[in-house]
Amino acid sequence: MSSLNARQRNDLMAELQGLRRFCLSLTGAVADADDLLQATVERMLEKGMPEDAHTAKWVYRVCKNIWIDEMRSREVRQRYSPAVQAGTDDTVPSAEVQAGGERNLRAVNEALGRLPDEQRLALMLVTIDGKSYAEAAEILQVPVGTIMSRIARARKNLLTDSALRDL
Amino acid sequence: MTDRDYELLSQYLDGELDAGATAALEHRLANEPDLADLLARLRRLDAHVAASVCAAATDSVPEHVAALLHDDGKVVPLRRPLKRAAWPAALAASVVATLALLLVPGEDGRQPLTGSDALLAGALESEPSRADGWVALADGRALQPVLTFPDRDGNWCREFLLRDDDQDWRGVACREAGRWETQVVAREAFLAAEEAYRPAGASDNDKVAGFITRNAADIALGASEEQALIASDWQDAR
Repeated sequence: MSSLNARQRNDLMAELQGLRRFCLSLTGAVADADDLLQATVERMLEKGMPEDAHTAKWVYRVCKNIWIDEMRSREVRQRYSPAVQAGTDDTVPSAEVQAGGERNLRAVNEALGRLPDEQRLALMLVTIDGKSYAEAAEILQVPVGTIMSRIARARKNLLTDSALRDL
Repeated sequence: MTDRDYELLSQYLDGELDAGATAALEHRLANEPDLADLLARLRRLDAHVAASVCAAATDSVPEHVAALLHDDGKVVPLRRPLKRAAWPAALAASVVATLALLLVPGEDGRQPLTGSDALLAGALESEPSRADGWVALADGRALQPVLTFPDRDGNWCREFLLRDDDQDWRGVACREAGRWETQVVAREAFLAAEEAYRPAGASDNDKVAGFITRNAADIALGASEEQALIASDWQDAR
């Protein structure tokens, strides 16, 4: 299996924006997310993928595995740092965000960071990237029922998080 | 609330309940205020989660990463996911109210759509959103409703793709006083064939994405919610 053919490259290009958000949900910081995105694309180009594989599902799995196997093991991710954390150089919230709800956004990010990884991944794939439960199940390689229960537990945990009780 | 309630509401929000389960849950929601309140809190939570991620992600893929996929100088334009999406309500809450772009010319100065378009409006009124496939309009154009969301004025809006001859458009129309008016539209670059390329820049999705970000009051509806809304002739009280 060599690099990607034109169709696969095109499919991958179409996934990059969503994949970047997924990377951000994994890493919690824009700079790390972009590193992960680049590593994922490079891995795809290097290793290729089967002709009959679904590009989106394949690349999300590659991304997740890189994060778990490499970046996380190197402790790149110290903790899930708030994406809208004041003073971080690589996160530049818009004036609109600063004007309204910044405190809420920070609280949500901190609460997301307290979720178990498997719950946060399932939640992000569905609520941010618009994947169906079946698609998320394929990406995370677990049964659909597991995705369903992880997302429900993630939402319950967030709602009962002391920082988000006012939502 | 039980864990099963959380699972049901989660599935409902995500459009993962079948018609029977949706009807049963909606019956409970109408009769159980605590359950309805929990659903509202979960909706707000989803909006905040979306906002927290989108606030940091500019949606612009780093050029050096995109360049890895360029093939012999050919550039493939990005196409936003067509499935259900989520938008930052928190972002929308603090922005300009009046972006009444009834007509936005394309880059070449052509005016692709008028504010009121009977054929487009008729299809938007009744056709569900979809990730694939097109609805043929009587004048030869083809429509693909993409998703449905509430705006800050309490109106329902729909993002759509419109194919007209060899040109594709992405736009948003909102329903006010029973009429669909196109609010913003921009040229969309699709691949004409699997191996064919068009230059980047032919797509101008930022206008549409920006409009949605500024005006969406909540996340897009799930399939079952949209189905119920269409069935109610868009009278669903949020």
